Amino acid sequence: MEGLYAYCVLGNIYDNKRILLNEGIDPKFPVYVINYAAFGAAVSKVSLAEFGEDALHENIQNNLKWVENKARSHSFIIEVLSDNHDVIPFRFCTIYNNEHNILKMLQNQYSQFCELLEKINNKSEWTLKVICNIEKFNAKIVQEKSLELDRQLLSKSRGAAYLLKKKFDALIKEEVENCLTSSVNSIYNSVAVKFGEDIVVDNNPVHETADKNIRCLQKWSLLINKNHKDSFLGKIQEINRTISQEGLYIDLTGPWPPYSFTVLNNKEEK
Amino acid sequence: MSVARASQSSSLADVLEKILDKGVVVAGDIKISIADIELLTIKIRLVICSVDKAMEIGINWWQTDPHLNNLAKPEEDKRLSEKIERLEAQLARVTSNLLGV
Repeated sequence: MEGLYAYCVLGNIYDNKRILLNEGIDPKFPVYVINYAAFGAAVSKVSLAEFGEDALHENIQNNLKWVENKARSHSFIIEVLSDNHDVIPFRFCTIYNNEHNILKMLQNQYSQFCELLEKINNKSEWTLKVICNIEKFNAKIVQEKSLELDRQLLSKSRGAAYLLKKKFDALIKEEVENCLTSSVNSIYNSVAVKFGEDIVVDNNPVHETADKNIRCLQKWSLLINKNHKDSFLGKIQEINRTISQEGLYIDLTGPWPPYSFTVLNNKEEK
Repeated sequence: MSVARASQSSSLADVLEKILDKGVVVAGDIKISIADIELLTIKIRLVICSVDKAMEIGINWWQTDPHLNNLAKPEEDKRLSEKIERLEAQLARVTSNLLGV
């Protein structure tokens, strides 16, 4: 038994059933297009012994190697397709029983897919994490502030000097937070606002590491025009050269298909 | 600045975040359940943190095992080359003794 794995909507007109890639997520079957009006869906056959509901559940529960292999394969196929076409990526493991159901889905979402394709035309997604090595960042501030404190202590009485020293730790903490906010705002303005045609801010950024000194301060997904890619990358490189001395760096991944910018407004249209 | 394909160069956590949390959700006939997605996200974070934690406390044997890490192979090659040199020198000495040179 076989199903149809749907990768993405393709925003250009194709000959129906044209082969796009020789190997799909199930490498026995090629990726081809199913047309509907002005766009199509990139799909490939998959064996339901591997991609059926029970098999999927089993693989996800107990086979992380399978998940990694298929996740990278899903992502890679959409990326390759996005090199030459506008794509609206579907979520991992979206599988249909037959072509008729895929056509029905394309028909139901027709107007929203048209709007999204217009929005993402010639653009791709980049993800930026502003990462901070807190120990390094703190050390720089402590060094600067200690010099300032020493100067201030010279002109103070013994009592005032004692109180000033007591406040030092709190001052440092406040200064660190102020400097971090200021650095993040500066990066946001010079990168996200300048290059991003749309921005999605992740309010709960996670950077998976057990190192307690490494903190992810901010995470943004940006929709960037493909024509501006070089100047965007140049800017990131320039900023990283400057901020690395402070214990900060921008962790950049991309170009991704526009996963964060292709959200449907509602459930399937009727 | 060269950037490799995101799907190959990014961490599995980053790839999964994109393809599980983002992208268009349409009502496929078969799809992963929300419970499975949540479980998977937790598992990935645990695996990554476990590897980092192990390295932090000095457990990193897989980095120096030539069977598991290509970077460890030059060390092994160097060791074997030195051993061959020692054996060749020893053989030369024995041979010259036997020949009475």
